[in-house]
Amino acid sequence: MNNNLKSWLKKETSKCMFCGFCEALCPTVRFGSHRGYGPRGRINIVLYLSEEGKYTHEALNSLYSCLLCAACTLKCPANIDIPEVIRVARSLYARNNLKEKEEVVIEKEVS
Amino acid sequence: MERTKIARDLSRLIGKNKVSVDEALLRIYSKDPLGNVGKALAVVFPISSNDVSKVVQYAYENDIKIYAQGSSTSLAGSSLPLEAGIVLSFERMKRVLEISLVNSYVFVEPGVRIDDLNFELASKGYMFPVDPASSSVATVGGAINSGAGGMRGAKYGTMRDWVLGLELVLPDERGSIVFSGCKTLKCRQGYDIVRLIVGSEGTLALVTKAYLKITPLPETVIVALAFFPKLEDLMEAVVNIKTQRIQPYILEFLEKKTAEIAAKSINSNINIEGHMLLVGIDVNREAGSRYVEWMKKILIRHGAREVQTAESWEEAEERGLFNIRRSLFVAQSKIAREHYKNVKDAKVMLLIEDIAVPPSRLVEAVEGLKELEKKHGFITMLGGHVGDGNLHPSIGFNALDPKESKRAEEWFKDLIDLAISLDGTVSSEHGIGLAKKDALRRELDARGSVKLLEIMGNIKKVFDPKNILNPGKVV
Amino acid sequence: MRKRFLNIVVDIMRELTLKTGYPVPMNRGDIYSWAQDLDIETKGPIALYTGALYQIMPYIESLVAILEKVENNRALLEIMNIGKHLASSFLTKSLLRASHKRVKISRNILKAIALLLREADVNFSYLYKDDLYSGVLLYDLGLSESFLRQARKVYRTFKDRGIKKVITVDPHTTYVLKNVYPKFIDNFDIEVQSYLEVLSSRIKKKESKTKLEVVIHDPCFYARYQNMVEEPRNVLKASGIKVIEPKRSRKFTACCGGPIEALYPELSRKIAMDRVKELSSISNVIVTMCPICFSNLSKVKTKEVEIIDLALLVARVRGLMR
Ligand SMILES: Cc1cc2nc3c(=O)[nH]c(=O)nc-3n(C[C@H](O)[C@H](O)[C@H](O)COP(=O)(O)OP(=O)(O)OC[C@H]3O[C@@H](n4cnc5c(N)ncnc54)[C@H](O)[C@@H]3O)c2cc1C
Ligand code: SF4
Ligand code: SF4
Repeated sequence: MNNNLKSWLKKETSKCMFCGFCEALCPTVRFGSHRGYGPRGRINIVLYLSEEGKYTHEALNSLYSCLLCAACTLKCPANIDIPEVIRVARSLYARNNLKEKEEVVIEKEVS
Repeated sequence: MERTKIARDLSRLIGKNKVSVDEALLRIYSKDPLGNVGKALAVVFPISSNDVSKVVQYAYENDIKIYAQGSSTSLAGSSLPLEAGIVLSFERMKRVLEISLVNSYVFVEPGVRIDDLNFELASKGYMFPVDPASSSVATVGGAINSGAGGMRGAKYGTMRDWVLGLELVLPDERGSIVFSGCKTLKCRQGYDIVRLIVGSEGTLALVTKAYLKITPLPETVIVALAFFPKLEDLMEAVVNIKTQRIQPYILEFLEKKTAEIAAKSINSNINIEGHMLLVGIDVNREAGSRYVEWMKKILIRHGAREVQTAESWEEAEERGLFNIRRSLFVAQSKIAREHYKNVKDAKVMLLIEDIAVPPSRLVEAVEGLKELEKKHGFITMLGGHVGDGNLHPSIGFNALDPKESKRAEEWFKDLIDLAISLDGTVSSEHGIGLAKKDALRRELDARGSVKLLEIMGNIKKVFDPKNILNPGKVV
Repeated sequence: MRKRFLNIVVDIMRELTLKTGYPVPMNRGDIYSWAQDLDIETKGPIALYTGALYQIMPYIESLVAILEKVENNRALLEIMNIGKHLASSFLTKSLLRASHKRVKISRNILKAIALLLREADVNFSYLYKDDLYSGVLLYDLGLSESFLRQARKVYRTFKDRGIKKVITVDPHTTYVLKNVYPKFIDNFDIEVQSYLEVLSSRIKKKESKTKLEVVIHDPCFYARYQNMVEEPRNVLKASGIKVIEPKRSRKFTACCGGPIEALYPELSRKIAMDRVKELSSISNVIVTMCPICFSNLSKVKTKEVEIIDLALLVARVRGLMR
């Protein structure tokens, strides 16, 4: 089941062209301490996680410091639903670390 | 050397919260828009020239490579940590230190983004005119070091025309901090080191502060958007405009099919009746309508089918006259993605090229590009700054398909030959980096000037004897 | 440390929601005390549903004040972790007390909304103790299973009470009911409209004597997620209030920083300060329409600046409240 979410995340995040256009409107990257606090960083960290990367300290900061405010989506040429990717990535983490059960709602989340 | 030791040493030198070896974080400082993945060992966030100097001393002593980064939007692979090394990210050095209207300069740290700088300047009625399409993200330091340009290039030139003086940290034993150039507009300080640094892609020295020239915002800009069924007619119009004792603020071109795709990608209701030409002329408000009429006449006389005009910048914005041009990148990515929609496991890459030819040869260049499209079978998107002859043809390809990658490479080779054969150049504003080292050699070779590469190599050695700054790039 | 902090805080909110129905320990009575003297019907197919976010925010503010201390204090963190099991009793009584003033503001805002709806001749009932929390925070944090459980509870309550349509009062609850519940709950058949949508078409025009000028702060979840930008403006204009637009407005609005206030208090504060600076450069009266925006922007405002919820402002201008 986890794999469904993972492959969806991988598919979405692979669209990223690393142009950084999304960063211009992101409030957290402006005041955060590095690129991981911006949408480009978040998307690429999720990509890294979906390829069996580790939930490092900064990976978690990147995921959980997002406001889900969606300003970034106004500028993304690849049309990635950035906040949704981040939310789903959080849910993947929750499944593995916060005892959230897996059997529910996978399709609902990524439809 | 191992990661944790580097982290420990650097933390001691400049402070713990300025150094990270977090694996996930290293990953996002190892990538670039070309799809490369490099090998950052550590990423460092200096907040002062002294920090930079200490990191350089350390790297010099321990033979560790240093890769400077602004926003890593380079399209030439310039910012990629190719070998294991320290990424030096300037994102925390982003202050605007001084704006002096009387001295016509702004004094900045390298990490400030170009649009943020312009936001501050605009409140005083001024601007920094170099405007790469990536200006909302690109940093001043990155733009200086890649020699960036933009839409206003025909009138205002590129980065090399706007840098007055630079504070530099040199890759020597002491991480020397020097200042090159002047605060004044005129400056004859022996050999022009400032110009040498502009476009040097972080291979010679690290830029830690910069004095940049500024200029007043025009009172307003009149805009005309025209469509020409015949390419020759469009180019004739450009030639005519360029001989009318005016210097257009913008003079942008999109090939017909590209314009159609771009318009469709943003649901524009503008009719695409041919190749697109976007003209902007900076004028006084009172003169607006006169210039609009005059420009309209020129365009129609040269065979424009549909002409839309606006008497001010605001009006043009409101009517969406810039939108098609601005959506070029969106359109490029969209068309590429759609093309591979049904291919499983496709890694769609965009190759955005950057040749320039003398404007008088633009028709030949466009014809040549159409030939290449037929020959290699890629849908080519084509737009550019016709005012200065800079074209950005682009193709999308599937990087996971070896055959296609090979074809893309061939397309690129042919494109370079085309630029050279038309007295043009292989890179106008994106830089050499990794992607165009061979192209540069071929260009110089064609001009019987390969000797220059040797000179460049020697310059590199003088600045960076241990080859620690961005090795493997440019030369 | 960060991982532990994160896991504990997220876990506390989840446990509390599942056990008490709300993500922070609080008095149940506070949920519906605002409706005390309004005599709203208890039954009827159209119900006002607050989703409790306005009522919760004063408690979240106190929680954040504690978390700001705990973030770098391991011992306290572990105490909180143990505390979550005794959550409602232990925490409510000892640690978490919402400011009285703050609770009152939330009450007044909700009251204003009800009075405005009444003035516009909208018939509606209220859920009182069944005015449950929507679970939106769990959804945002990716706790999908727990969210689903809460959503089912809310939906069952609606059905049990024969509700066909709910009128919501804040952007987050509106979004999650309109756009997320239908994805998670099969055959979700409750119509959802925000009070601003309802009022936008029904509010009567009223000239105001005072020439009031305000700057508007669009919440992300109305402006970007639901494309709702004209409705609040209509309601303000219909009441004779002049709306001035900040630089970042409508779909280009800038977030108040609120959603990360529990996990990244310092960062959240910086973002709020930046936004308040931008807004107050336009006008000293800032209008919000989301309890999270109100709370986070108020936290950093200076004395000269007034931040007021749209409903309260409009109700006052129209003479419905003092
Ligand atoms: C969609 C898109 C559109 C683009 N359009 C244009 C365009 O219209 N015109 C144009 O010219 N370019 C364009 N570019 C290319 C690129 O954005 C520009 O070259 C930009 O100026 C790079 O800025 P950066 O901050 O991202 O620099 P980086 O990519 O981070 O760095 C560029 C180079 O500068 C070096 N460097 C950075 N900071 C320093 C420093 N402080 N000291 C020493 N070396 C340093 C790096 O090592 C690297 O070699 C575009 C890119 C994208 C993705
Ligand atoms: S949704 Fe997250 S990544 Fe996007 S702009 Fe807002 S804070 Fe930044
Ligand atoms: S704008 Fe979209 S494609 Fe560009 S870096 Fe951000 S997420 Fe990636």
